[in-house]
Amino acid sequence: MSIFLGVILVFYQVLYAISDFDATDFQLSQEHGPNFEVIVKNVGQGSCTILKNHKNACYVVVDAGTSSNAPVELLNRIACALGMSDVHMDFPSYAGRITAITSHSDKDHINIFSKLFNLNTILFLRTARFILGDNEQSYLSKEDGEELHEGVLQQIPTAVSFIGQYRLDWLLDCGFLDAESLIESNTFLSILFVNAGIGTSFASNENTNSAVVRLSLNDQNILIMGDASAIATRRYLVDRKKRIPTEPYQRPPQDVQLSIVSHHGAKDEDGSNDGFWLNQKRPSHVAISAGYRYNGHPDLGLFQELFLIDSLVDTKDLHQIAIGVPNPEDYEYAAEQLLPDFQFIGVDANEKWSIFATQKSVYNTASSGDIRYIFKSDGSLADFSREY
Amino acid sequence: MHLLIKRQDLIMLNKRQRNRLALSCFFLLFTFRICSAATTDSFVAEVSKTRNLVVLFEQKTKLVGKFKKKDSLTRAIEDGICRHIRAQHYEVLQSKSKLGAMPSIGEFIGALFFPHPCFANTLKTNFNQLSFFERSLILISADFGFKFAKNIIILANNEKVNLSTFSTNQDLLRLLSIPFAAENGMVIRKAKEILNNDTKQNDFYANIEREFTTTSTLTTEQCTILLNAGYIYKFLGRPELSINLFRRASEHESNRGTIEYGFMILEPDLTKEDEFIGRSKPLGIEAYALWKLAQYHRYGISTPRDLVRANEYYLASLLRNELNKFPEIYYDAGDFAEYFAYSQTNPDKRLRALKQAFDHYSKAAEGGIDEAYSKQIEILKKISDLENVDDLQGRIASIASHAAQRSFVHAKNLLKASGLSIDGRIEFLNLEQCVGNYANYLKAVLREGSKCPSF
Repeated sequence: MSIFLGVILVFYQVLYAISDFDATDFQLSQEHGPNFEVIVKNVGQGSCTILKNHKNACYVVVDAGTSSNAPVELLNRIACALGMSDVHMDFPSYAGRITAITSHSDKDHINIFSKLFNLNTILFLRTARFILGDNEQSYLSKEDGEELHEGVLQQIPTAVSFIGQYRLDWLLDCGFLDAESLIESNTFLSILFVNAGIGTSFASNENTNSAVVRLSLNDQNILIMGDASAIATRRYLVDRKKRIPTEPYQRPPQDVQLSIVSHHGAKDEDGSNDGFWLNQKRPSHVAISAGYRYNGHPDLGLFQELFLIDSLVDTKDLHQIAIGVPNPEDYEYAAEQLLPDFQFIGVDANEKWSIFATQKSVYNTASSGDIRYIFKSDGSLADFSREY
Repeated sequence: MHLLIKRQDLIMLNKRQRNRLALSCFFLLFTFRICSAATTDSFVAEVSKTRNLVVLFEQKTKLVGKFKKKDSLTRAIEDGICRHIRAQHYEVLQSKSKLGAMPSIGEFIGALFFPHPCFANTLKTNFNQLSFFERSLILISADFGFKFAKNIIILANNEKVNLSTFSTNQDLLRLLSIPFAAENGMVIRKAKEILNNDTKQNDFYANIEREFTTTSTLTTEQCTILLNAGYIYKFLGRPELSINLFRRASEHESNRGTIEYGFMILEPDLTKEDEFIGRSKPLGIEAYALWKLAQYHRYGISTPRDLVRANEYYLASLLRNELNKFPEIYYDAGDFAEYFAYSQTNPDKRLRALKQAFDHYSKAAEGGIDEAYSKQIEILKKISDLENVDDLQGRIASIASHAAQRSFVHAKNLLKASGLSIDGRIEFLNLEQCVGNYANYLKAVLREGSKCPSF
């Protein structure tokens, strides 16, 4: 009988499980596994970035909003990414704690939250913190902000924090990082800066008040820029230069592995994606959350700067990216400017965008769908995938 | 056996002979009934098997055209509908039993489409966790006017939810009898409003206890109330009442009740896994319970994180997952193998783990987990980075075409990935519009089918 059971067990081990690996292999996973996931969700024109810690099934969701071109089943897809589907897991419905952050009060960054929470009420139980960048008044003066206030924040009042003032290097202790990760002083989650407009004439400028979220993994940084303007990034850079850091999280981010760039890749009048900032941070990988709306999302100027800075790594993945070139007289100019890193393929069906092919690690959700980066605990990129 | 027996012959038979003949006739008819049921599957059962949404929606359109304008249900219409969708008589009775004495024709058709078994003892906690096909069936039922399905859709989509007239315990009970009601924020708010102090919460709980503990078997509706009330008490910060409600549901053989009760006892004390497994085993959900234990160890919840133990539980769970009853276990085992693969620096070990992940995802896809198709393609590409894969593009196209025949969301992306022409610009749609689009994509796949070589 025991021989028979033994044969069955060996058969299944070979067939089904990964137990033909030994304990040392598992130890390797335990210590250096691909533990941190960054998913830039395709929400159409809007923004939603989800961070997941595989060690404790905890999540951070930074922004959840859309204004057009949202893909089908969007709410369900975001819910799945937060571990709300049976497939992904179902017990962390209770155990997998969530920290929600809104960078600022613009519709395309917040209007999914209310629907998402009210159609997946377990999220109310799972939300450990809800942090809101930008003025409280800004939220309350807008329909979507009010809906967020009524539909979500009032249901979890003890978890809610309006920041209300200009802050920089705010360490977030929200349970996202597991005990092992917290031992490493250069692994942390923080808000790099927020509400940079407060105390200036830009106090009511939502983009300037945008929160910038920083995840540092062994000093390798992931920056989620919201819609931060040049006024905000410059204020931070100047302030940081004058202060002497006493803690690791107060050191400005030097090695930026991934930047989810500001304002859907725009170069607008407030100076989003300021060249000076990009030149300082020099990201190795760039993700853009945009969805075929508004001229110049993402803007040709951003790609010119990325070309000049030359910090993006080359990948094996030859992929297409839609770049905003709204005027037909600029098609040729754009094609010439971005060579050789970006090869002009043609004008998109919507003539305001041109399609380029590249092997540089820059992706736009409009062309690539959901973008997923997996980092090891030491901050190195373990894996990358895009939806299509 | 002679099939034709004359009346005179019957009279000539004695009592014993007559009994023998009656028995033989009974067995003959019984055998004939079974055979006919097996050979002429009802339309809904057939469509459920093939999960072909296009056929389903074509049938719906025909039914609407032919019968929906009439308002009262007569035996002739009943028979007509049944012939039209090849429903069996027992299905008709089943549908009628869900309705009142004088159902409208729309409600009757809706009830025929309604996938009742989905809710009878589901493990899902949210409407959106149901498969796209099941959700479409509910949508069609609601569209025909079947009130029960309509209520589910309204709560699931948060559409036109007006609970202002709900103010009593009885109202709340009515609300909680709708599957997945506790997953709707408005319902939670209403429950908080009605049960706004400890006394009211205790009274409502006592009411449920009284009603359900005296009954030996529970209806689906009653079980749904127990589960929804269990969730509500969690939101009200009364886990001590939730646990009792889930336990009661579990005692009445509710799958979800058993899992929820298990979570509540395991959270403070994972050593109670024997009780969890003990309750799950007789219900046939032992594999599911073992999978949950694997996750506890994998993510270090209520216990230090231990991947070796997690792997042991995954293995045990897969061993007991007979006939791929829970394909989600394969999906998660694939995810675990994938996670493991990325941490391996040795290319052989990495490749082996990736291949295992691919096999798990394949089984998950076969079992109906649509997301597993995109995972299969992702892993296949990673395998091809490490070793030569014959006809990679062909294999990807084949996976995509399989997916396209089953799922909309994933099919669209996969088809795009395999180079089939699909319009990428899709606005935010409701489920019904999705279904329409899905049907179009499916047609596109069938048209392009010849371009997709199979394995």
